Amino acid sequence: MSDDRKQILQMLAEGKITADEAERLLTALDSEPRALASSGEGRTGARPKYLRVVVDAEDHLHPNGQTRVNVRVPLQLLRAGVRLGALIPVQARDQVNAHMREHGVPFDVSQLKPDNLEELIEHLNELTVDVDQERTKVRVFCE
Amino acid sequence: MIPVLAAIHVRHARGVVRLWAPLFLLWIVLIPIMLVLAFPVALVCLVVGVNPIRAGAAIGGVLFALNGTRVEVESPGASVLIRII
Repeated sequence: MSDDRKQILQMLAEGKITADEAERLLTALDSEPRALASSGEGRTGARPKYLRVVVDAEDHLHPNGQTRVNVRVPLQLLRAGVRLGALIPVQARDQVNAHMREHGVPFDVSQLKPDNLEELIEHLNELTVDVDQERTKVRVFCE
Repeated sequence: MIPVLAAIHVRHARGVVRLWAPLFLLWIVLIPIMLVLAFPVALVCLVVGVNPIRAGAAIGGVLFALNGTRVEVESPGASVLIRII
């Protein structure tokens, strides 16, 4: 048991605080490490190894059912993929860009460089992308 | 390390299928084929203006980086889990 927890119980035993106040303090104490972890302050600074994508969505086929997608991709695979992508011949790259534009994704594959990926990974280490919608929740983070 | 095993678990209404695919057997079969194909592929790379050594290194990099990949899809009716070890 931690010192803070003992102190709260001691205060409760001595009658300095009520049971409700003690409960609130204990709850706050429990949520503190989680808050630190989610804000990035609790991280050790170790290099992340995996990119995680977690999707929770309502299942249209099953009422009240949830579909959960949990993908863990090694960051090394992303790096290798970008290196492989850099080898795509210019003509093929132009075709890929044109097709992506046609499908509403105006993205230039030639801009996908290993340096940019390292920068992206570095930033993903510090933040979590959360998309919260009424029926769908998407979370992207590194671990 | 190159992946040696793929674990595939499928759960559906009629039961559960658990499959462990030994990828090292696949590599044993593929390596001689890759060696035979290496020269023609290198020629094709040179024709399209791609450095064959860099291409080989990049493909090897992708294969070696597959380790640890995990894809899990769960729905009320079924679930699929693929792990590369």
